[in-house]
Amino acid sequence: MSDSIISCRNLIKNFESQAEILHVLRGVDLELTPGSSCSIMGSSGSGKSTLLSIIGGLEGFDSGEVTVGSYALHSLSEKELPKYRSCLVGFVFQFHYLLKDFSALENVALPAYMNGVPRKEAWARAESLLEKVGMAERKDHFPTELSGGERQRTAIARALVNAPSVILADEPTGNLDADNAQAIQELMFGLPAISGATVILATHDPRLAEAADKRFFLSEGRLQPL
Amino acid sequence: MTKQSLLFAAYRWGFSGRRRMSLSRALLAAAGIAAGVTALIIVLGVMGGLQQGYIDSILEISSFHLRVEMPKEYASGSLDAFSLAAIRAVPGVSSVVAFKETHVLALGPSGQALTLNLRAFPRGAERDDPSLVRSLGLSLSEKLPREGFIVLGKEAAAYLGADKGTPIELFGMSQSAEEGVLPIKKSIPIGSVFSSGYYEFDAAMGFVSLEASGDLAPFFSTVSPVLGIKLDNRYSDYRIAGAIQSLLPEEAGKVTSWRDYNRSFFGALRTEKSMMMLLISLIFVVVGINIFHAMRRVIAAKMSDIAVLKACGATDGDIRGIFIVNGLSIGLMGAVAGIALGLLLSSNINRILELAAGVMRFIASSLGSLGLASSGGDFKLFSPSYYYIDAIPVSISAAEIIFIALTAIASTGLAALVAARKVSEAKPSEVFRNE
Repeated sequence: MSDSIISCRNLIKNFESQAEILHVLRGVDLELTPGSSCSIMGSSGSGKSTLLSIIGGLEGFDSGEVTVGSYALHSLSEKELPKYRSCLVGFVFQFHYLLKDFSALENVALPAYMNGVPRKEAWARAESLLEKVGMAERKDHFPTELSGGERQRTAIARALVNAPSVILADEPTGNLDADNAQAIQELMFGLPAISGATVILATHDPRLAEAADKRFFLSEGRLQPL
Repeated sequence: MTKQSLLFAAYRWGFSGRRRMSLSRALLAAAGIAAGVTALIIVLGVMGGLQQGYIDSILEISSFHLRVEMPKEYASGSLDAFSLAAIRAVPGVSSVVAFKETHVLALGPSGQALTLNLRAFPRGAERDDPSLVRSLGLSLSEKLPREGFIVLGKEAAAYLGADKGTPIELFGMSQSAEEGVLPIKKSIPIGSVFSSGYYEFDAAMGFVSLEASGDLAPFFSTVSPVLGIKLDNRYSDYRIAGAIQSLLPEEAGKVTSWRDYNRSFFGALRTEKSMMMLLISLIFVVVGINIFHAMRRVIAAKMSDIAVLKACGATDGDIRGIFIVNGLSIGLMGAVAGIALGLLLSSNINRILELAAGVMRFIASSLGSLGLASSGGDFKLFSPSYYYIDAIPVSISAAEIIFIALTAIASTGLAALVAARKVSEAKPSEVFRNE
């Protein structure tokens, strides 16, 4: 157990509305080692994104234990979460969520710059990552000037800029055509392998899911190995 | 989030974003602040100039910086007995004169009568207090007082229908233990006519010689002499008052500062200025509310960007900081532009008004030549027929400018601070889920 980078034990998450209580996660258990990859499939609304948000420190949970690296999220305060997110986690979303007022290079460099990396180094790091994702030529373009695939490549470079231990990708190819999806798949499993990050991705795409070391299906609030 | 990255994000979101709207929005808000600062500087500058001129005239002509009432028994003797030279030697004292003043009724050739504040100076007062002569608009070579003559304000002379050399009659009362209260009447010619630029003095003051009080003595029979003292720096009044008090005989009255002597009047001027400042400062409230609403819209539109920054490790405080820096930057830009414009306009206000008058004259003469209006070729903004001034004085202190600038910057900073509270509503998981 001690060599796990991610450990979820009996994770429970409910959403309460006026009408009902939605039991989204009913006891999720997950163990992942550093540098491994894992895919989570499941129908829409099954709780894939919620699980990723919890592991990423974006969402709280009702009970259970979640440990990522040296951070025990179940005992982390709200004030400690930003530090955890900036140091340990990189996010890739379905809709890229690049900052519209920043160029591709600035979008990638900003998280490092925010994290205390000197400007010159942050920009150099971003440039190097953009080159690795095949975006060197487009680094000065703004998100509105990029195609969907280019935006997602930029988002992947952004997720990697702080050399996180964990990359959480929520439907990273959900909005892309087949060719772009294939390119993103190669990046998702290629670059983190070099950096040593653990990848968890939530997807509807069986081909993408197949490429991961471990595969799970989230159903009835529990993870079933595939 | 480091300070540098916060400033970088603030710069991008506030001024150099991809969408040009961010720059134009910031410039528009800064223009609003600049307009407020400009208006405040001009209004307070003009108000300060008028008030300052009035205060200076009061101090130079009427109240002095320090004054002290001497015992009545000194009236019969020489006022130099009070060691005026010793008072003049006190560091910071620029002049000392002894005088007496009373009120009389003046009657002129027009048959009109008016009440005069009649002030009697000893010979050579023009040497002892040259700034008094300057403030009265008299030539420095002119004697004040002139023995056997009265130096009268131009408005008073005009009202009485008198001019230089014309005798006028003074009516008053004398009082003595033997004869009781008696009416007195003296005729005295006008030696000079002064014009201080302030109607109240020009219409109600006259200066005579203390030595000539052989003729005019009965008017001053019940009056104690007063020492009028002027200082190099009028704000060192309280310190010097103490030094002078120790030189005076015990029977002398308390040395009174100009601030105490004119307390209610100067207090009213200060209140008037403060109220004007408060009213015009309301423009900052209006601009602040506009900035608040604009920033709320920006924050609402940037919810996903804010969520991304939070996912990357930014705290609510960091994001709020970005918007507060934007607000303060807008305030700073507006304040700097407003100060520059305000100082430029207020230092050239008379030229600008003259230009406006020139345009009015041109329009009037053009209309006149077309037979559409009577000729307005002699149009003046400050016609002497209606106004007592022929130019706008401007006086504004660095402290006032700093106060205005800080108020402007604080208003935008506060607006941004309140608007930025919305930032904490951006929960990344909810924003991503809802989009």
